[in-house]
Amino acid sequence: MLTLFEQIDKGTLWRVAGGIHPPEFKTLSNQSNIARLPLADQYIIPVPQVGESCTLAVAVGDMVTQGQPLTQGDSFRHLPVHAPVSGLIAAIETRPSNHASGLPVLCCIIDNDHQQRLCPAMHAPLSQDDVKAMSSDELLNRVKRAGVAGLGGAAFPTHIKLKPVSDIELLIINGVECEPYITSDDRLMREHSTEIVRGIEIIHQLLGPKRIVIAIEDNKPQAIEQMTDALNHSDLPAQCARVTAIPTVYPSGGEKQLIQIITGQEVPSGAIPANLGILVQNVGTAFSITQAVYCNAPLIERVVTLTGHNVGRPGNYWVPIGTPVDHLLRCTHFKGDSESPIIIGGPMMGYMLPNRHAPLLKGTNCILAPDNSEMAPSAPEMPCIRCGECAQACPAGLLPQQLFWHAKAEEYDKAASYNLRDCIECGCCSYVCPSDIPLVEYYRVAKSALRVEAEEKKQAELAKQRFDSRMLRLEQEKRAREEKAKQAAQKRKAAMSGTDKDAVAAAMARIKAKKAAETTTTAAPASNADRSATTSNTATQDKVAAAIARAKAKKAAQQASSAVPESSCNAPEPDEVHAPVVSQQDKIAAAIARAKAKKAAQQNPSSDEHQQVESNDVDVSNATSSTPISEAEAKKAKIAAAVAKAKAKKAGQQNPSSDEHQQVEPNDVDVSNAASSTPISEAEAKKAKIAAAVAKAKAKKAAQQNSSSDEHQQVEPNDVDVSNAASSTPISEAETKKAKIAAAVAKAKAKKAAQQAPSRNADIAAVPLEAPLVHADKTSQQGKAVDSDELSAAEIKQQRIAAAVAKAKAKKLAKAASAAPDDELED
Amino acid sequence: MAFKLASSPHINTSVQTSTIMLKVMACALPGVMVQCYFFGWGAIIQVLLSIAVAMATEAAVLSLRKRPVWPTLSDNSAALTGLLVGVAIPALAPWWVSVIGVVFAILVVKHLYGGLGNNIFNPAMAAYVMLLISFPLQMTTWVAPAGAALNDVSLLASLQIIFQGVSPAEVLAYRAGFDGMSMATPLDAIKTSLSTGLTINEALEKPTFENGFGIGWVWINVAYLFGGLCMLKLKLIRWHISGAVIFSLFVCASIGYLLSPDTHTGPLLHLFSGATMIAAFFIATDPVTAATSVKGRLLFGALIGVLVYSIRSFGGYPDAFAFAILLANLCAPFIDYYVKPRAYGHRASR
Repeated sequence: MLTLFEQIDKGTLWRVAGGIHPPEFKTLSNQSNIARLPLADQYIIPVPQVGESCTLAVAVGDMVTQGQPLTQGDSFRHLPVHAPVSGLIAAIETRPSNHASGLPVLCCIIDNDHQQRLCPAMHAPLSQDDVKAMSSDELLNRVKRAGVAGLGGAAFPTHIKLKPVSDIELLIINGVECEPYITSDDRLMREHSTEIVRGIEIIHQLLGPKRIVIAIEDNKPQAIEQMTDALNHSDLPAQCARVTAIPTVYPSGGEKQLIQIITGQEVPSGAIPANLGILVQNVGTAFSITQAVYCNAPLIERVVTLTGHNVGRPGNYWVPIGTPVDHLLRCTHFKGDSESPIIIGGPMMGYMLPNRHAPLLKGTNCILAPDNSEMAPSAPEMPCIRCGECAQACPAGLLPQQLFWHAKAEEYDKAASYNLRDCIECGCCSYVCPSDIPLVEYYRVAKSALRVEAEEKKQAELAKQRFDSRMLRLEQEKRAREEKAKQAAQKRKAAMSGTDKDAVAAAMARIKAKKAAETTTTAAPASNADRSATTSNTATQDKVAAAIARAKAKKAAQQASSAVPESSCNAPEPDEVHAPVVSQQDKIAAAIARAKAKKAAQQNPSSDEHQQVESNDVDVSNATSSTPISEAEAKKAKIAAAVAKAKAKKAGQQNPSSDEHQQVEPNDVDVSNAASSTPISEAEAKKAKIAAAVAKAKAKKAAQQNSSSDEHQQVEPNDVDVSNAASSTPISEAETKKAKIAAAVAKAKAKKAAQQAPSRNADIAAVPLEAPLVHADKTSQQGKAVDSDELSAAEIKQQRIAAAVAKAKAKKLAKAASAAPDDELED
Repeated sequence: MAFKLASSPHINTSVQTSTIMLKVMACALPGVMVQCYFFGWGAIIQVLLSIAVAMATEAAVLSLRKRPVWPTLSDNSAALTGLLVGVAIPALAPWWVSVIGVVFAILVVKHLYGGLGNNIFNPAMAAYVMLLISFPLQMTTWVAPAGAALNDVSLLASLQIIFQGVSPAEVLAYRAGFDGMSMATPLDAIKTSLSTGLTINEALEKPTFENGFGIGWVWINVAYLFGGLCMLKLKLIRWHISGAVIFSLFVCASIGYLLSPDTHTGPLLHLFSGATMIAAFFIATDPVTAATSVKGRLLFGALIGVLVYSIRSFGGYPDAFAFAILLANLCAPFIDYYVKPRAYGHRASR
């Protein structure tokens, strides 16, 4: 049996599956030499790699020479692009791409200055000996610097292909050009066979393949002749290289198909020819390699076939890369209109150009402008009759019909199981389809769907990995933290005997001291209730305290009346608490006092029966100030009031829950509105608030403890004497607000107390009667106040509202009491 | 740019479904002519009637399905179905046999499955089987071919017989007084003879036969073979299915004949009797219901051949192509699934 190389030397060809024989139309464009067209005024050079592996080497406004690189990059995969003409960089912006989608890509726009100033790096051709003396690196560098890419259509960077992963034993030079209409390689082989062979020599020098086959379809006899001639005059070793004519059948020019025809081998699915030790290069690429190595000339122009019946002067032309397609059409007397299709590439695999301003690319070998007689608009798709012609034509051995069924049904996984990804989109199946089904289009859609799916899968996988690693990291961190905490705890334990212990002890001592101090201060005002405050400076504190007191008093009164109807209101004479002189302290003191009072009241009953708690009688004198009160003050007051209310509420709620016979002596609160003459800072306000909050908290606790105690508690309800203080000076809005809020709060408290009370003690009959009385009292007092002084409209309103509210409350209470069931609901 | 962006490829063969169907019908013409020669005007009347009914049914169903009527009707697939039903029906069968058969073929077998390209069974064969089972008398009453009986039924008489329900016997009774109007088909005759204990050679001495072949039928088969070869030449069909059918039938028949020449029909008689040639070239090759890959088609054809021989030799029906093709139709998706060609760059699988 012959070895592969012996068979290649014999010229043995293998059969390739499928294939078609479309009309060639090659003579339309291959009758004349490769010509040149007038240069365009503007060139568009896409720089798609910018941002990925390279940066722009020019800026807008730069003057460039012909062949000057526009991009620079260090990455091996970087394929530089060059200025095709000398001129000015007019813009660097996105322009419609030369792609089926026409999506815009970043482009350098060069205004041609028509001076053809060459890049100084280019030089006159070297001699063959000079090239032979070059190292592989130098050769590769020159190819890379020149931006040589596969000119067969894919435009894959040639320098990458020339540095293959495995040894190349067979080099195939692809001069097949099987697509109809296209003749650029044909003409190039006829006219530049020597340069092409020089390029082959360079590849041979780089890779040292054992055999070189120049494959040309047998419909190009002149090209075969020229190439054979050039090969005979080359420096390549004898018996190493040969020209092989292959039968004309589409798509024998496909890389995989050509390899099969020449060697009988198939490139495994998913692999590249280099895995078989085979490299395939286009003849145009070989030519460009020669230019790059011999002249250091970058790839800035290529042969393009301009053909089709809509082209007035069809033929092959040297065209600078980046020339707008519409310029080429103009120069070749395009006969169509704006509706006429323009196809980039051949009729089998080319794509229709959506935008004629798009530039010519390195991989563009043909611009086809067919008229209607050549390419009728696609016929409507008919149902598939399963004739199977597509399977006969498929060069990849696929079942296009099955692929079609699944692609149409969007069963892309099934389509994939029929090896959809091995489809080379040659178009043979669509070509033979009697039902005019655009099969390739279906496959493209399916393929892109599968790609998207794969991409999503990949992303999901990545996300999962990220998530897993994050969880791991968190877990590790947690463990590390625990470890650290453990160590720290041990350390502390170990150090306990030392200074740390002392520090702790000291802190404890401080806390104790503080507590003690608090108790003393709180005790003082309770006992010495007879403080009188006469100065006008005390205004704000007074107000706050007063408000709180009012609120408390109200609640207490309400609760007392509601809870213990038969409680004897034998309240002692309430102490009169006058607001202290010093504002903040006073306030705090007042609050504390209140709290204490409450506590005491609550705790006492819990100790034993028949205790009488003397509640503080708060007599808050009206402080009248002549100056307006700041907002801060107002706030403070409000807050204090709210706090007081809250406390009162709780106390009220809990007390009744304890038991019968409690006597709560309502504090008699004489609340007078205090108006301060001096503005108080916010800091003070805060302090006051804090104090109030503390007081509340204390009160709460106390109340909760009390309620759990026992029977016969007598709490003397505070007697609330609320007198509206009317100041002679106009009162700010803040004040009015305060008042309103206080009123509202009071109402709310009253309500709650009332509601709870009836639910507990069934025998409270008098509640509804008494509650309204309280409110009535209040309202009357308010009314008095109104009479005596001139009040602002706001005040009047407030009061009215308060009155209304009070009435409403009273009503509710009455209702609740009557509606309350006899038994306990909650306990 | 306002032009429609089309996907590649931008060129297409001018071969259309409608042309294919038309050419297939043209290739069937010789066979129809010979049939007409041997069985009289009735044969051509049945064919024309069937085609007309098929077109009408197709148009009606398409409009019912709210599909474009003309583009689909002009693909000529309905006409071809009509033609195939027409040639399968005995020349002087009543008109309603054809009508029922064709309507069943188009409406039920074709369109209920989704129309052209989606039917599982060959419409013509499914209709034939339905008729054969439903109306066995009408479907087996073949006029004696010319040469075997001196029948010369005029066009008018044929029309009367087919459309007015006049029985062939009545027609002939006052014309010739000859009772040999109807006659069993060769395969039927052999089957009957064998069942009565005669050998093949004895059976072949019956008037149905001449030189070892059924009178008329051999020429009909030759004509269809010619048409089939024309189709191959015109690349309307590929040889795989027809070749496999003929080859497998030939091989089976040869084996049977060699084992027991007295009780088994010879291979040539099998090939040139009954519906062998028309079925092998015009019916089994219906792409819609056949397997699609080359290997699959060879298998499909071979399966038909084996089934035909089995049914002819061991089954209850003298001819069996309709059954064999329907059974093979059922297997086609299965074959397609398991017989996939090896794709480029893939190792041979299964």
